[in-house]
Amino acid sequence: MSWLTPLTGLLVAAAAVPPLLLLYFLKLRRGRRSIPSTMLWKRSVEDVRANVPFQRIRYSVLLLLQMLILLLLVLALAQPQFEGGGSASGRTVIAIDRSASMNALDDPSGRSRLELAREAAVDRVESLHGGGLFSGGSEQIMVVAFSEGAEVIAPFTDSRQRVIDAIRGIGPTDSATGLGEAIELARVFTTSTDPESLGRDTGTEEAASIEIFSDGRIEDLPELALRDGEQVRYHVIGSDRAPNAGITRIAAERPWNRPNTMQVFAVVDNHGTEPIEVDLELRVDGAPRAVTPRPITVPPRLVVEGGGSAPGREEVAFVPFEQPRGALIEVRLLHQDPLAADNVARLVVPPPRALDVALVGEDPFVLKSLLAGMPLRSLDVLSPAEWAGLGPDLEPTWDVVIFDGWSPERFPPGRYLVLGSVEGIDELVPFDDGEKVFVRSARDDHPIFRFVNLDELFIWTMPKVVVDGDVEVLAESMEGPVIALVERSGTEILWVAFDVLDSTWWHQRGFANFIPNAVEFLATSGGALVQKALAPGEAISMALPPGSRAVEVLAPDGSRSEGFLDPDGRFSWGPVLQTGIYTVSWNAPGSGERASRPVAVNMVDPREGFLDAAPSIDLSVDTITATRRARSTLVAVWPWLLLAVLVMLVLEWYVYHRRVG
Amino acid sequence: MNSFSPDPPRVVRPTRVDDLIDSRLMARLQRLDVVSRKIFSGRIQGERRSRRRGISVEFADFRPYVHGDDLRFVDWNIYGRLDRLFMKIFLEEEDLSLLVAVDTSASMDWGTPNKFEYARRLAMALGYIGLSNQNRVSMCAFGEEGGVQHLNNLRGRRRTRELGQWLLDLQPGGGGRFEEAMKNLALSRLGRGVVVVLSDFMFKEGYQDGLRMLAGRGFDLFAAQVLSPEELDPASRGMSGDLRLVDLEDEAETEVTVSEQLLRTYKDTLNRYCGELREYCIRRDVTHMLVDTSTDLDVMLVEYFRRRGLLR
Repeated sequence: MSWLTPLTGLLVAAAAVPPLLLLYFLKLRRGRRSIPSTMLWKRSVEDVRANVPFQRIRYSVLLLLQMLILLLLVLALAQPQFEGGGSASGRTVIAIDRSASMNALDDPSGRSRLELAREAAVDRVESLHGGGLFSGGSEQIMVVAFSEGAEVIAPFTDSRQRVIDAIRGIGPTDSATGLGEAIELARVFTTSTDPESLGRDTGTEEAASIEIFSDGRIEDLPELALRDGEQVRYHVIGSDRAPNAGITRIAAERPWNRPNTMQVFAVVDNHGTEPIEVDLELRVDGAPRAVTPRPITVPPRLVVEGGGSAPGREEVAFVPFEQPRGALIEVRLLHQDPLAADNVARLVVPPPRALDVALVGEDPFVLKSLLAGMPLRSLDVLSPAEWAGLGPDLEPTWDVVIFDGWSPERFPPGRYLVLGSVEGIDELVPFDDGEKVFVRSARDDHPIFRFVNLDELFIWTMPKVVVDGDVEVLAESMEGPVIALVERSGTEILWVAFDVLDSTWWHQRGFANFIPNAVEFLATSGGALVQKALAPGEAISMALPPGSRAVEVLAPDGSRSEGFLDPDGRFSWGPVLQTGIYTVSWNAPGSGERASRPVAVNMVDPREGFLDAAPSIDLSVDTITATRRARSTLVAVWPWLLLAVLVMLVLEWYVYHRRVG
Repeated sequence: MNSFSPDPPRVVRPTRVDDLIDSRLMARLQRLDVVSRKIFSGRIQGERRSRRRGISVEFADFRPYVHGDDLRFVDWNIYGRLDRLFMKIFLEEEDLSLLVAVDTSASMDWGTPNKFEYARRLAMALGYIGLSNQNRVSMCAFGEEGGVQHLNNLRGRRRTRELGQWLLDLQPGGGGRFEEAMKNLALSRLGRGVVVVLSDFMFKEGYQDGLRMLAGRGFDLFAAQVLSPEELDPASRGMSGDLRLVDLEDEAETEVTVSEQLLRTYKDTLNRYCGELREYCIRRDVTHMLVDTSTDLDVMLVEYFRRRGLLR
C-alpha cells in the first residue's frame, strides 16, 4: 500500500475531524425539560418510529443538503482527476520520442528534452499506478520508444518499477521522427487475433490509451488515423520557441580531371525567426583546414502559406584543396544553439582510385573515345567473340565491364554496364519494339544522373520490356523502362535499353557525364568516389573483400558490436542511431591484419532541426492538443470534494438549528 | 417565556381565600346551582325533590291507610265522601350531595396557567355554588400514593371560608395512583350525589379502573380533564429542538427531536387519548369535560359547565 499524499491526508483529517466531532457533540446535547407526563410523547415518538418505511417526499432543505453531501462523498470516493486518470481499457502505451530533436537543450534546467520526457513519463506512470486512495494499481503499461522506427522497451506489464526502469533506460538517437510504427506496435499488442477467424481482429480487447511524450515534430502524422476507441494524449515537451541552425547537407567532390583535388560543399539552415551570422570551420582528419573568411548570414525561416514554414538557407563552398589521400571531412558550425547534433557534418572520402574497365562490342568507337578520356588504370576493348573465348567459367578481374550493343547469355559475378541489349538479363523480358521514345521520368537524385539531363533525349527505337525480378527502374518512358539497375547475388547490371547511336544522346553532354557516373557507381558498388554519408536510422551496408572475418562496428559512443556478413561479402549493420563516425573493422583475408573503413552519419533532416514544440499534433482527422506537464495537469479533485462536504455539513448544521432552535 | 423553557416560571400560590375566589366571581356564581341528572336521597330535607315520598307542599299521590300511618296525612275530604281512609303522599324535598375530587399529583402542578391552581379555583367555585344552594358539599384531594384527604359535609355559605382554607392547605406533589384513590373515595363515600373529578387523567397505569370504581357506585359523575395550553398545543408554546423530557411524577426520561411531524403525531395522540377517555365516560354515563386552563374561570363555569349540564 502506498500513500499518494499522506501529509495532505493528515492535514485534511486534522482540519475536518475535530469540527465534525464538535458538530455531533453539539447536536447530541439535548435540553432538559420537565413535563407533566412523558406518556403521550413516548407514544408519539413510537408512532413516528413505527411509521411506514416510505412516505411522500416533502420538500426539505435538510434533505437537499444531505443528498448533496452524499453526492459529494460519492464523487470524492470516485476520485476524479482533471485530465484523466488511467485509460478506460486499463491499458496505456507510453510512447516516448527519442528522435534527434529531443536532444535539444532548450530547457532552462539544462536537461535535454528526452530527459524531460522521461521524467514526465515516469510521473505519468506514478499517477496511473499510485493515483489515489483506492487505486488498485492494475494499469497495464507498455513503453515504446520511437524515432524513425519504434521499439518496444517494455511490453504490457503492471509492474510499475519495471516500466519506470524501462523509461529511464531509453537513450537518445539522432534519427528522424515517425509515430506510425509505434501506433502499429500498440495495436498489435492490444488487439488479439483469433486464428480461426482468418486473421481478422476479433475485437476482444479494447484499444489502449496512447500517451505520447514528444515535441510534436513528427513527420508521418498526416498519414496516421485513429481507430474507434483509440485515445491519444499528447504531452508536449520543450519550448515552443527554440531557434536552431544546422548543417543539413554536406558534399565533397573530386573533379574527374583532377582526382587529387577535393572541394567541400555545405548547406546551412536557419530555423529561427531572426537571421543569424555564423562561421563554418572545415576540418580534415580532425585538423582545422579552413574557416569561412567572414561570417555567413543565414536568413530567418520563411512562413509558408497554409501554416508551414521553410528554413532560411545558405550554401557554402570551400576553396578546393589538394587531398590525394582519403580523408575524414568535417564541417562545423561555430554557433551555440539548443541542438548540437546538427552543428557538425562529416564525410568520409576514400582515396582516388584508378579503375580497370573492359569494353565489349562491335566497334564501340563512341564509348571507347569517352572512356579514353577518363583517368582509368586500364581499358581493355574486346569483341563479343573474344569475350566468348574467355570461357564460361570466367571470373572477371575488371572493376566494370561495358557491353555495347551485345551481351552474353550468362553474366559471371561482376559489375556490368549494358547498352542496347537484353540478352542474358532474365529479369527483363522483351515483348515488342518501341519507336520514337522520350523519357518520361527519371530518378534525378541517383548518382548516375549527376549532371545528366534526359529531357533532350530522343530514341528512335528500343525494345519494350516487362520487369520480372529484382530490378530498379531508374528512367522510364511511355514504352517502358529505359534505364534500369538489375541486382543479383554478386552481380550488378546497369542496363540502358537503347543503342546510343539510335538516339540523340551520343552527341549530348549528358551522355558524356553519364558514362563516368555509371562506371564510378558500379565500381564502388553503389557508392561513389566520395562515399555517401548515412543519415540516422539507415543501415551500414558495404562490400568487403571476400574472405573477410570478424567484422566489428565501433560506434561514436565507443560501443562495439558485430554485424552481418553475407556469403557474397556484403556487410550489413544497423540501423545507425547516432551522428558521428562509425568504424567498420575486419580481419583481412590472407594477411589476417585488421583493416577498417569509417562511415559518417550526419543529421541532415531539416525537419529535425526545427525545434519549436508543437502545441498540438494533427493526425489525418483528429487534432490532439498538448498537455504541458503530466504532473501539473493531473489534479486530484477528491480533497476539494471533501472540503465541500465539510462546508455542506456546517451549512446543514446551521440550517437544522435555525429550524429547531 | 414558556413552560418548555429549562427553568419554568415560579407559580404564584394563593395565600388567602380571596385569592381562590374573588367577590366578582362570587356574585356571578350566586345565580348558578349544581344540577344532577339523577334525583338522590339526602340525609336532610333539602331543596330538591326526592323519589322518596315525604313531607312537602307538592302533592304526589294517594294510598290506602294502613295501620300506623301518620293520621296528619289522612285526606279527610275523601274519607267524607267515600268513607275510606286514604293517605296523602307528598314529594319530599332533599339536599344535594356535591363531591369535588381534586388531583394533587405532581403532574397537575405544571402549565401556564398552572393546572393545579386552576383546579383548586375551580373546586372552590363549585363548592361555593354548592354551599350557596344549601347543598351538602364535600371535597377530597388525591395525590401521593393513593392517599385521599377529605373535607366532608359542608352546608351553607358560612362554610365558605372553611372550604377555602382547606383548599389553600393542599400541596401538589407525588405520583397519583388514581385507581387506589378512587377506590378509597368510593368506599368512604356514603350516599349518592354529584361527583366532579378534577384531574388531567395522565395516569400511566390508566384511568379506567379508577373511574369504574366511582361510576359503579351510582354517582352522577363528571370527569373534568384539566389540561394546560402547553399540553394541548406544544408548538404554539414554542416547544422545539432536541429535548430530554423528564416526567414530573416518576422522573422517567424521553428524548425527542421536536419536528413538525412529531408535533402532528403528538396532537393526534392527545386527541386519541382524550377521545378514548370521552368514549369511556359516555359508555358509563359519565360526563367528560375538557378544561383548558387558558380559559377564564367564569367563562368555564358560566358557559361550558352549564352547557355540559353540571350547572344551571
